Amino acid sequence: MTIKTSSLGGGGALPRLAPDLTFPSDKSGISVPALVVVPVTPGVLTTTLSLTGKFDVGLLTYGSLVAEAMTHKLTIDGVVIWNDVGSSNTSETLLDGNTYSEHIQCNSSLLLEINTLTDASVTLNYLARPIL
Amino acid sequence: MNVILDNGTHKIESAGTLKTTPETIRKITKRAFMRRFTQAERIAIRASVDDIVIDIHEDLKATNNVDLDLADTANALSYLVSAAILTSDRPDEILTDGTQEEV
Repeated sequence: MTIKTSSLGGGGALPRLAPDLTFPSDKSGISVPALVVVPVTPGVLTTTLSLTGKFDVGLLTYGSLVAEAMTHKLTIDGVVIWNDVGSSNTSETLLDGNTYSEHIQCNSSLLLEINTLTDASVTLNYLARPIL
Repeated sequence: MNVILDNGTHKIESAGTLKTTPETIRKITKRAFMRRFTQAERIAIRASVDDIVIDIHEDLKATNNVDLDLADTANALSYLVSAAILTSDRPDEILTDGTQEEV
């Protein structure tokens, strides 16, 4: 069960973006999707993305995966939302925010973790916008 | 953890590092990998009675994707050269970076 942004706010109020006054000269991953390359120790839960503060998250896609069973764990505001083993392909879309209803929000923290069988390196494409 | 953003109120961290250049694809599907061989090369691999070539082929059939950086992959291609199935320039061509269509 994910926390849909559109379900929050008690009246469907849209989240207010925090100022990002260096965009577009500094596209460091705030207003545009960013890609991180994460070394992973097989068998060990590894944090691929950690957010502290209030964020709107619109994209979570893994790439460069070995197709194998792996655990995806998502914790939002201290509550474990996903924690399951599934078979992944060479890429895996966990959250595709093509429509606004697919965005999720954290109020204080978000933790995305992965545990692989053999894969030692993954990439994560994400979009996390600071909101007020 | 590497800090990607910290503006005092919002913080983004990861065990990984932010990549600012286009992603290099080094893992491709088995089908994409096989399509990097010419038809004649594929036929020669399948027709080979060499135990090691047969083992390479069976190992490939059992996997879903191929890691182009794996030592086993390079070793397999080197053996195919020694078995006269590939010419010596082919391993470098076969191990070039993948494309989005190959993942």
